[in-house]
Amino acid sequence: MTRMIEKRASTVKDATAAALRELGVGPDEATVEVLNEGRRGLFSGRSRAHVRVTVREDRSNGETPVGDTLVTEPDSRAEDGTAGLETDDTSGADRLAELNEEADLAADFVEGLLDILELPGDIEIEVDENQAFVNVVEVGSGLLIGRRGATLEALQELVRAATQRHVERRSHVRIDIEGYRQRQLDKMKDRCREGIAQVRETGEPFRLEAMDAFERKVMHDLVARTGGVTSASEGVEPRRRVVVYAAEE
Amino acid sequence: MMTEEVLAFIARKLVDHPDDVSVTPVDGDRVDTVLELRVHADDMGKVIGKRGRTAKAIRTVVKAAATREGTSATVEIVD
Repeated sequence: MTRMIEKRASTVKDATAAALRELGVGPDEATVEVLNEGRRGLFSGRSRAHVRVTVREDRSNGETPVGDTLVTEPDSRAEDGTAGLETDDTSGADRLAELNEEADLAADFVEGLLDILELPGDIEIEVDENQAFVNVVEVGSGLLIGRRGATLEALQELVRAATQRHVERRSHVRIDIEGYRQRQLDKMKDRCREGIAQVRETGEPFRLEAMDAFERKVMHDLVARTGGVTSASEGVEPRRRVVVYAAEE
Repeated sequence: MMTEEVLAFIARKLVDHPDDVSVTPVDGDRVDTVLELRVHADDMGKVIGKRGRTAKAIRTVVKAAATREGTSATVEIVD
């Protein structure tokens, strides 16, 4: 469930409109926090407007408690006991704060790079319970994607290394440009479905291509939702892959 | 030059001593510039990474930056 989106665009108005559209809510159902007004300029003085838009949890009540309109920090929202984000030892609020920090570091990295290269581009930050996503859109250039996504993959590796240095734990931030990796992920899911069908027919294990941890988890989840098959990972990073097996009944 | 700036920017994001990052272009031939990257001795591992993974990623992104300028660039990490 998405509760909060950050967006960096040329103006506060653009950034807010895009974030609301993505969350699928109206302006009265969300809280908008302006983190950076943005500055226009040709050279180093330029900066993108940066907003954080949070869906209000009380929106189904149809009533906004007085004084609640400015509460936007995810940690203070979780403290009221309605978040229910507990996934591991770390409390949901701590986890969300960590992921927010990682996403901000990653977005700063990407934004700095776009500025040096004099490329346009809006940056969307989305954080859910387990993962942070930084999506760059409207770049108008495949430069940072590269042939078969090689440059994007390198960029992901650098962002991972840079954020890991700051936060000193395994990074959970995923970078995408113009939806390239999302399309790749969709293709992987298609191949996984084909593999599942084949395993059900033949009973023989089916090996998927090498994937990163996030992609493998998506495949495991896909297999888990399907009856008659099970899955495991094998091999060593970066050649680790998911294998689909027939479930033993 | 944009490509040098990209290299210095990336390196500073990866190291513990960003002030010690320097990038020096050395004369390659006209189509290929060699960029020498120097970092603090304690940061060598940070820019190289496990089995050279980080260094490889740096080279890939720097090459992309160079194509934007219509050139090509090779990164050499110097100690």
